[in-house]
Amino acid sequence: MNRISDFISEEFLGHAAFMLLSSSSIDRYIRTAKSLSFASQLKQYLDLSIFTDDDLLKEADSLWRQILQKDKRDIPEIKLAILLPLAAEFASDKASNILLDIALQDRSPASWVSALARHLFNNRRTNIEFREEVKTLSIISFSSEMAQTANYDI
Amino acid sequence: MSWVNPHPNRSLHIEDYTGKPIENNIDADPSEEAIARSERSISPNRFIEKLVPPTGRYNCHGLVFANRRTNLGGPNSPIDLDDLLQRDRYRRIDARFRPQLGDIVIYRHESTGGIEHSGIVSFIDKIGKEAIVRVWSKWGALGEYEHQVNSCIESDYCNIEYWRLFA
Repeated sequence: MNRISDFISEEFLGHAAFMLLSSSSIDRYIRTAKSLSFASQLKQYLDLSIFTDDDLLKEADSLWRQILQKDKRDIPEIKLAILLPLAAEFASDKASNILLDIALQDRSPASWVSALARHLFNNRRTNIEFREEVKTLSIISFSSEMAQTANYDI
Repeated sequence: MSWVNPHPNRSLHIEDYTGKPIENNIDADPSEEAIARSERSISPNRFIEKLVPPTGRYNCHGLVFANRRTNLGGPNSPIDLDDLLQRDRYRRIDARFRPQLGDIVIYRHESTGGIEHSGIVSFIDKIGKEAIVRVWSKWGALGEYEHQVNSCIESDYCNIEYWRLFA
């Protein structure tokens, strides 16, 4: 069976390596990774069930382990940066766990892809909804405190 | 090509921002394979010349503001570059005036307003009424290049500003 990253052409991988390694800011790195992920057409392969969500997560995990053994920024980082934005769209705990694993390891040469994982994890729908809930609860709690204070004043 | 500092005596405020020795912000070098693949994808139409080989020690902002000592603005070194420009007393050059050698070129994202790239004006020529500006900059973890001001990746989606230190 082909690995998922084998579906990324050599030419595309070279372009991706240039675009990601030439990034000087994390904002550009994240934007570039998302854009490369979209342009890689891996999403279409997923939609066509040529490989599954689980295959993609396994490959992401395998690439992450390769990165941890390296002392330089290398091709596995490029491949993982392309896969992660797709993984972040999966509604599964496994996807959350992989993103979190990567996000927590903040040392070179993994720091760029870690920052990408942190961004993707923070912006997962469940986390955004949770933050919104906390915000709403805070507002409700603040409002009721204010109401109580007002009552005391009276 | 020997290692030349294109513009010495740059920013002295780096440690004020990070609160730690600047050496802590050195990134890992890219691997030979990653460099080879990246360089093969650089378009020959971009009129660039490679000056210094890739290193993770510093990025474009590290070249411009910190004499190649550190990375600025990467995952381990968040920094407000606009604040740095103000604190180091750079002044933006009005578009009516021509850039000079040694001016700093800032590539600012046209929608987010964030600073995406920086370099130093290294060559100016004039063809007719057109000023030809070449810039010395480092491309992330890749090498240092001299290129026309509008022929790096960032020029495709950034506004270009010139900043200068006045005595």
